[in-house]
Amino acid sequence: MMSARDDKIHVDRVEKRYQVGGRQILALRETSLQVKEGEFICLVGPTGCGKTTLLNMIAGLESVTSGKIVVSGKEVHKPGRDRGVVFQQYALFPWLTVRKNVEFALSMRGIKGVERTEMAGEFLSLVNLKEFENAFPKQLSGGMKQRVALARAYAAQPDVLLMDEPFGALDADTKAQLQEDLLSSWRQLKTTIIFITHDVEEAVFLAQRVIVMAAKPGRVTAEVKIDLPFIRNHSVRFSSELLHYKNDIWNRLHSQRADDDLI
Amino acid sequence: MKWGDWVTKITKYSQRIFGMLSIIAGLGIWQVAELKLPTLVAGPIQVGYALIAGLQNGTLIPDVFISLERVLEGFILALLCAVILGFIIGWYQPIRWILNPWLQFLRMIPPIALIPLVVVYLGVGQPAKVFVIFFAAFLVMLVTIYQGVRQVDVTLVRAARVLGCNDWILFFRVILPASIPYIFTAMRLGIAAAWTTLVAAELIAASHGLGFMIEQASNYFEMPVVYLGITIIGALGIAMDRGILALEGKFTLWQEKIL
Repeated sequence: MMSARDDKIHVDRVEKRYQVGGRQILALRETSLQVKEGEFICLVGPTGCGKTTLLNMIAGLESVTSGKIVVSGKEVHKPGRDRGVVFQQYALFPWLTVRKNVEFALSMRGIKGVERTEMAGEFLSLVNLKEFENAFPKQLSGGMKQRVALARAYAAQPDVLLMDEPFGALDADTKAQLQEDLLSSWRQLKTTIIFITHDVEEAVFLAQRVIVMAAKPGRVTAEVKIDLPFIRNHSVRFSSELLHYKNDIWNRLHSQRADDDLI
Repeated sequence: MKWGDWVTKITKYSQRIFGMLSIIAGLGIWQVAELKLPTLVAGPIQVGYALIAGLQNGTLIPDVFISLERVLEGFILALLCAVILGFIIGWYQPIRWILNPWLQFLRMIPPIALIPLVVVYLGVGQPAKVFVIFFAAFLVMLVTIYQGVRQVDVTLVRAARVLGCNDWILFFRVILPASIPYIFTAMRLGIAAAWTTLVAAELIAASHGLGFMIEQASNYFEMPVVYLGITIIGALGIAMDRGILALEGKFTLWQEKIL
């Protein structure tokens, strides 16, 4: 029997309104969403569709106007270690070395001393950055910074990983590499992932399910299950199946835009 | 050595070379001024003799030390208070709203203007001078540190929150290190304010210290000692500023810098 309790994340009729200069703005129209444990879903949509707002509300960084969000059976009110976030701007602590950044997350779990140093090393190996452990963030490229941010997020051992356009600022090659690395870490760590992007190909390549969103007001308009092989590699990226999904989602995004114009 | 190598070498040391030339030229002009106005100006050579005399009769060093002691006491006290209060008003909006009008008001009062009041309430002893220095350095540093706290990247705060930081850890491990460059700028401004105020305070009410030394020498028209006092004040000011700069360099290696 399926019920809400089986879901890792349950977004239950959540709405978000802001007051901007006396005017009320509907950032996210009543939205519901269920994510199963270990599932990888992508949110795609244009600017202003409320995807980041939704992610921040799940993270506990923003409050909901109405409705509720339940993660692992507990209602979300504030940020917590059970929900890791990876930001587009990396958000590494610039005064800490690469290893110390990862250790920061471990120290929040109460891990100390030699054990902490060793574990940090392991998480850095996971993202292939062990040899840069003593570098400062300013010495790294964008892709490397994002790897450190990932290692730090993994080190907190969250049940849920929320990723806000993490690869948005990277060049195509680095992006492709990080996507494949992310998938292989996901298969190892079995974390539930919500990944935001406006890149349709990225969404299809990564996700088991793609949630299509639209703006004005922000809302969910479609859900597309992606039936591609579990292990996704270079050949999957260029497969006709992937292209088919990409086309489908692209069309859905664009038909919405046409609708918006009519409204 | 080839011509190109010479150019590279000169370019490399040009900052130092220009600096040295500038100092030599300055000393020269100063010496010429003495030759033109022998009763009013004491040149570098005379000041040098005054320095040796001061060191020999043992009056100079105590005056320097007492001035340094006052300035460091006032400065360190001011730094601690400015860091703590700077963080509180940067972080808690209502406290900012309550304190802001007073801080803006006090900021515009030259510390020297407080001396008559301070003399009435605290007398003419060490606490009076330390208070005036504290007042001068504290307000300058508070404003800068507050700016530093306000500019801390929100994403870093969010990143720390999602990793499980409470307010206390957030303060010590994120806000404080993120504000370090501003704290050092505040320190440079603060030490300059403290040092200049100290000397002014000593000129008015003191029985020791560099300001007092200058004041007394001018009463007896001992121009070399007056110039010596001024020179020492400037030199020690530079030394303290350089000290803070060197510390800053060590503490902000992680920072992305222009050049």
